[in-house]
Amino acid sequence: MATLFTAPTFTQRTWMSRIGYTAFLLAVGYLIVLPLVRLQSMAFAGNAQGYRSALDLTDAGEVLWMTAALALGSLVIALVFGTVLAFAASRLPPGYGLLRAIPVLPIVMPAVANVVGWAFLLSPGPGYLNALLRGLPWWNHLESGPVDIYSAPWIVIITGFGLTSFVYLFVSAGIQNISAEHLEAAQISGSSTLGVFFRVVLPLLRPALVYGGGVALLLGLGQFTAPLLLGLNSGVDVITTEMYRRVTESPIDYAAAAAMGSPLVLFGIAVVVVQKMLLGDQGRFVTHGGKAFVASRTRSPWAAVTILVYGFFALLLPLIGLLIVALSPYWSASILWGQLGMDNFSALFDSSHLVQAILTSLVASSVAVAICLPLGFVAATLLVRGRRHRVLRAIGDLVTSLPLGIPAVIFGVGFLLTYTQPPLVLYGTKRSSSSSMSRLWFRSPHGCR
Amino acid sequence: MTTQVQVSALTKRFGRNTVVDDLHLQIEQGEFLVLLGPSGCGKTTTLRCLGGLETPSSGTISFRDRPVFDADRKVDIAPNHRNIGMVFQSYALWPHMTVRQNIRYPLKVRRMKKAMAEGAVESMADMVHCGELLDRLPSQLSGGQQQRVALARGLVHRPELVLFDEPLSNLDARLRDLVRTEIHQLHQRLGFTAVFVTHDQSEALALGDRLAIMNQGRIEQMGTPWEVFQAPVSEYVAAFIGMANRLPLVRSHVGWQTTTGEPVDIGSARIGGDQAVARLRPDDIAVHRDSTTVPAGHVRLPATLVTAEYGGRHYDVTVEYAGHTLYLKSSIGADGTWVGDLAPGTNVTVSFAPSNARYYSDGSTAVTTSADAVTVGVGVGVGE
Repeated sequence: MATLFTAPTFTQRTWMSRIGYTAFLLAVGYLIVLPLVRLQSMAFAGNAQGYRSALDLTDAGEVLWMTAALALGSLVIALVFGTVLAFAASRLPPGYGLLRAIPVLPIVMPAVANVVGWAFLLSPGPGYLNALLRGLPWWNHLESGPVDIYSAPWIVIITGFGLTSFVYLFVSAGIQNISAEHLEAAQISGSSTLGVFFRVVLPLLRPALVYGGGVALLLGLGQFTAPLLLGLNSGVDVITTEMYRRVTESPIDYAAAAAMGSPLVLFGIAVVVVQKMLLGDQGRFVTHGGKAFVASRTRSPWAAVTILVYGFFALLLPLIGLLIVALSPYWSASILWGQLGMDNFSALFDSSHLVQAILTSLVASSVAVAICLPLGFVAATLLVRGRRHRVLRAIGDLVTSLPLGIPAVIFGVGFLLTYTQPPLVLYGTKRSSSSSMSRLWFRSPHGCR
Repeated sequence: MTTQVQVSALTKRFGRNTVVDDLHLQIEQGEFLVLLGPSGCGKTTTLRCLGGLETPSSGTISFRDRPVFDADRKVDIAPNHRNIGMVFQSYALWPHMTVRQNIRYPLKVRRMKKAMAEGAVESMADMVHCGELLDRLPSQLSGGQQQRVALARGLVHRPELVLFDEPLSNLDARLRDLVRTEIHQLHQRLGFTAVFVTHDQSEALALGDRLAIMNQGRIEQMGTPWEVFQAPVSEYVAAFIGMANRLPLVRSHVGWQTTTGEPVDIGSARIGGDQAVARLRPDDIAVHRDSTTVPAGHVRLPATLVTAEYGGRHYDVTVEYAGHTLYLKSSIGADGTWVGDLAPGTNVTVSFAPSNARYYSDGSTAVTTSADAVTVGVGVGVGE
């Protein structure tokens, strides 16, 4: 019997998926690359007026130096804390599994809340922790301090705390992939626990550290919240705060802001390329021996203590700071226990703006997730299974890696400049925040790896 | 001979589950001891306790009179201070290090500079036929090569005790035999003291100076491979050491017989009660076209052919006898390949010499076997 419909041949299927992936990459490329192109064209417009204006900045060198110091300093802190926490999470005693979530929680906490919480605690004058520390005998002569949260080192520390979660996520996934037998073999061979960590665990974590470190470095370069909220008073400026100033203070200079973002974009792309070079042959880091794979069996109560201590400092302390101020009529060094109340909350909920703002955030987030998931799935499928499409896969790899190398503030400005103009006008609608958030999906392929 | 390892009253519990139960063990210097048993019998946990990778619940472990674990005296020497070597099932080579770095690792972390300077790494690599591979990464090696490198790493620092945790199970059949022979040769040459864990009886018989058959955390039988093979003390050991066929017997007024009434002369075996079990190896049962060719004195059983698989110089034959499945190996001799030509369901006769079988009380705790039995164990049906 003749068949009416025949299944497509292998070649036909290959071409169909090639066309599909090309269309997908064109759409995604348009969304990602266009804002960057728009920024650069603006920066180069009028005989590169944007770049001239940016270079005219009197303290350009200092801003660049501070940006690098913030990124590298917070990277070191995040790498150390993130790795130690991930190692601890892999050694939690039975029944303490829930503690694994603690190092991730700071991601959930809005950066603004975290930074403001720390300011309430460690502001030199009325900071609650500073007031407590001034009670110690060797600091009781001080009128302010001893910690100045508004100084550059503390901005670096707070930023590093925030980035720790990202490193933790990557490194703990890496640690879970190290077979217990590899660690036991090192121990049996004569290494102490520290020796095993430095000689075996750390080298095997290289992909996770390079990747997580790369992400943390890029996020550190694009850090905005801590420098803006804490560094404004003390004159600690980084590229992102300068860009913000250019687009919010009169006279508004989008071209200069675009030009200032260029080093970040270039550096971001460089980080993505270096990441790929450093990882090279992934076979050097794979310890999965197939059927004999055994996850780490070593358990230690110290692991739980380590995570709890981190949770107390990184999460609980700033929350306590926020809560006390929220319940107080005003902020002062001494807590007014008798006057704590819900007045601030009542005043806030009386405002219709708050409800509207919460609603907008919820809708925008849901739409963003709905957009992110399918796009992320297609991208991941191309990267993981698209071996037949080498060129498309390489382009997809680059395009999906690009957003990692571009700080949020640049993307924000780029989106603003691009989508306030036809053909796709999104500015002022909820669609624009969804679109901005949709860049989140670009990280999903890296999560898949 | 001096005692290298002494284990007394070793017990390991995981929650309410006792995995190793009051284990006593003495390993002589240069001895190759094999712990044999099925999954969950406690052999790997015993090995890990010896290595310090698991903390026993009670008991003592001493290496050359030096206690490395003593629950009462709170002694628990860490694995890195026990001077042991270990070869894992997954090879556990560090993928970021070259073969040379992997083998050198125990010498480096133990600061054995003299051994390194004298070329211990290179000579050990040569000994396991990996001298040419020193600058390669583990991912560039085959499974057999990886396990040889792991072997070199486990032996290079001349440890007091070498632990093998099913090191051949990840290899294919041909390589398994090859690496097994190499381990045997290395042991003969270097004379190290070893504990080898496996569930494969052929590995155990080939490698062990002594075998310890483990069951539910205890040693069911300990002896030389010959002793264990010839005189398994319990039905459990018999089943594990290759006596795959189980034939129930009943006592009648004329003596022991099969469930279909064929008399069985159990010789000098002493069995209490009216129920017994005969255990037989597949190559101790013969298959015949009919009962006329069964030698005198052999037990003959009417059976039905289930399947006959060609195995080169023999057929692996499965027959059904009175509701029991029997497995046998039929040599391809002068009378050709007639078994293979039979259709499933064909009536045949199988036979065995009663002296080749081992007899055990059925399900009872007191088991007495024939004259060369060594000790008393628990009769548990395994390998049905």
